[in-house]
This record gives sequence, structure tokens and C-alpha cells, in this order.
Amino acid sequence: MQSPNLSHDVSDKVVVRFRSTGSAPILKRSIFKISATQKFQALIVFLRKELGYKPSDPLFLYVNSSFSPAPDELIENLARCFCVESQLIINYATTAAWG
Amino acid sequence: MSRGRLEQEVKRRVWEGAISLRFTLDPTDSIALTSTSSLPKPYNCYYILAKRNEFLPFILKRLKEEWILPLLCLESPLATSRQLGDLSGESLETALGLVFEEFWIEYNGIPLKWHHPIGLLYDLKVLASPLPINKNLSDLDSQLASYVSSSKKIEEKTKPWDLILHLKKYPSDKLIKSPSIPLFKEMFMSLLKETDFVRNGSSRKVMDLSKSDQLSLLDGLENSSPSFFQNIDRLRGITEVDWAQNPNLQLPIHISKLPPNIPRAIPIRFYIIDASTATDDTHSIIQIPSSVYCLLEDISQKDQRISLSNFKWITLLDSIYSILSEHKLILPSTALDSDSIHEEPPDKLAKIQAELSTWKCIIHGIEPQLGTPLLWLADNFSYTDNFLHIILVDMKSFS
Repeated sequence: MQSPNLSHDVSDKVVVRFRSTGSAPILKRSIFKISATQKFQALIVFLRKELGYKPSDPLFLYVNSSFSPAPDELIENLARCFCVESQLIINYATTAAWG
Repeated sequence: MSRGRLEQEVKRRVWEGAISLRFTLDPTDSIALTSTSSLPKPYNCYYILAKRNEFLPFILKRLKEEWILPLLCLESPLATSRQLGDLSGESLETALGLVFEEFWIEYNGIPLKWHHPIGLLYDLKVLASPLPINKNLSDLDSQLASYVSSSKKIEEKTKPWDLILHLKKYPSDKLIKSPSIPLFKEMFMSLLKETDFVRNGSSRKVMDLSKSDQLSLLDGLENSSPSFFQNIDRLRGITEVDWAQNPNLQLPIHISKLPPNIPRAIPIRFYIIDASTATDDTHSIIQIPSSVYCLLEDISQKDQRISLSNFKWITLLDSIYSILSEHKLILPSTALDSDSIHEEPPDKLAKIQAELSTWKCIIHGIEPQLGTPLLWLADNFSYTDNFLHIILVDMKSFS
């Protein structure tokens, strides 16, 4: 019997692709690797730094143009469930999208 | 019981399942507010009967409005020095020095995660943590000790859950920032989108809700109204499978019998408590999308061609076994590695059952039969975020 578990394979590092939405600035480099054991919070902090945003600047992050994970969700769990072609797609916007 | 009646009864119990909570106020907070380490009667503790499916932010709101604010209006030294009667809402809270987002709840020294349903928190912290048994005792002593500990356990399960409310010193290193009620509602919608995505490959069902449907859903979340559960059920979609027709789940079923509205996967979060997490009273979380059936390979006698014309429902046992072996949490015996074609299924089943005998599985406060189909559990035992939250405890790590 094949495994009922439909997870994507996750290695120690997860490839993350950032995509800007609406008027959010586009990153010079959009693909990064992040440790699978990190929490989603680490991605939020990282993206804010890349964009040079202050903590007070509004920024919204979504997985697969769909939902915002809780900051303490593990990257490996998100990658296991939501990777597309071995990448975790993170859409970001300066106003709430897909709400 | 006729078809559907059992499910209705199970659902009713899952929806109405409740836990009695007994709150006391943290002594330091109590001194800061009223200059006494325990609050004056009748305010010294506060009881709430919380639904298993409820979330802590709504409990915190009730504690604030029904317990802390009335108490402070009477007892706070501020109350005598200032005119509080004219104030209400946030200005009253500010005048009394309260910040709702700094409220948090502690059990046994551990801050409780506000984004888990209360039933899940209780199962993780109370039901899943066995009392340690001293191994150096003689037989009679150990029997006595196990009797005492099991009766303690029963006592533990029947008395209210003792929790401490904190108003200050939010443990930001252990908990994510506490949300306002509107923010929490947004987060809940996001959880629904996440589970919708796993089940259907997009979040369309949740996104397509009209504004008024969304508002009534979220009002229901706050009040745990019966219509809320029905709305969540409708959103998730219920599969029409007559389980009574398939008493033996191990038998192959022809593919034509597969119902049309089967979700492509169901979202499961496993909370694993084993030797590596038991010492610091935590758990690891593994989230997976799981299919609810699998196709079976048939090798034709005539021309040796492989066909996939039959399927089998995935059971809770299959799911637990695959997650534990894939994450190397159990070491599968070599007999199980060989392909099932050479082995009679009942033998294999017995071996898997033996492998899992030291593991305890808890969903909604009970230990479900491991032969239960996963789809039945998803339809009837999901929490309101539409996740199936399954706790797995390795009992070996506590002996």
C-alpha cells in the first residue's frame, strides 16, 4: 500500500520565492533558502529587512495567493503541505489582499 | 442506529463538548491592582464552562468584562481617587491600567497558546501527560502507586482545570503577540483558507463567502452558536459515504464505488509527545495533507499487467503508522518493509498494531479506535478550523 501521506519532500533548507502583489516593491533577488526548522516569523522579519521596512510599515504575507500562516508555523510544515515545484511561494502586499 | 443518526449524535457531542475552567489571578498582578495577593471574595476565583472548540481570546474577553473590570470598579485604589462612572470601554480599561493585548493564561508554569482550541490545549497539557511512575518500587508498592496515580488521574480529569490569568509581563519569547478580537477573527478566516486549500487545491470556497456570510460565521465563532458549527460543516462539505455498507475496511472496493465529492486531501496536524519533547513539557507539530483512500495494485493472473481498479479507505492506523515511520519515530520491523503482495494483510495489520501498542492517540479528549476511517474522522472529528488535530503520545518515554 502506498503511503497516505501526500506531503512534498522537505530537505534541511527550503527554497522560498517571494512575489510582490499590488504596489509592493519588487525585490532584486526573489529566491532565497531558509532552514526548514525556522518559523514563519523568521520569513516575515527577513522580508521586512530586504525591503527596508520599519516595523510600523504595513506588510502582508500570503502562501500561494491564499492565506496568511500564523507566525509560529514551522517552515517545514508549510513546505510539506504547500510547495509548488519544490518552492514555497510567498506573495507580499502593502495592503490586505485575498482577504 | 440508522445511517446518519450516529454521525449526528457524534457531532452534537463534539460541538457541545466542554471543559470547566477555574481561574485565579496571578498574585503579583493582584497586588498591583488591589494591594492584596489574592482577590477579595467573591472575586477570588472565576469559573467558565468553555466549549472544547472555543479559543482563548474570547475567554480572555469574558474574563476581562465579567470578572476583572467589575472587580476593579469596586476594589481598585484608582476607583476612589477618580471618577470612573462616566468611563466605558477602552477608556475605562486605560484608566484602570489594563491592556487587553497583555493578558495571557498560564497552566503549571506554561503560557497557553491562544491560537489552539481549548480542547486541544487541555488534551495536550492534562490528558496526554501521564503521571510518572517510580520504577524502583517493589511489585506491591508499584501496584499501589499505579492505583493511586490512576485515581489521581481520574480526579484530575473530573475537577475544573486550574488556570492562572496574567494581566502583565506578556511572555513574548514563548507566545506570539496576542491579537485583538477583530485580528483574531481575521486569523481564523486565514486558518479556514489554509484548510480549504489543502482539501480543494484553492481557497475559493472561503473567498467566495459573501461579506454577510463571513460576518455571521465570525459572530458564530465568538458565541459558539449551533448555526456556526453547521456553517463550518457546510463550508467543509460532507461526504456521503455509508460506512455501514463497508464493515471490513481492509477489503478492496471497486473504484466505481468511490463517492464523487471526496476531498483531494485532508489537513492533519499531529502533536507528538515523545522522549525528545517530554522532558520540557512540549510537543513537536507535524502538519501533513493526507489522502483518505488509496488505490490498490492488482496483478492480473492472465497477462501480469498491473491495474488500479480497486481502492481501500485509509484508516487512522494507516495514517499514524505512516507518519511515525516516515519521521523515524518508530523503527519498522523488517517484515513490514517487504511488499504486502507476499504477505496476507491480516498478518501485516497485527504487526503494525504491535508496533503502535506503546503509542496513545487522542482526538477531542478520547482515544478513538485505530480502525476508524480517516474520512469519517475528518467529517466528524475536525475542529472548527477544519483541521484534524491528532495527539500522539509515546508512552514508553514515561515509563
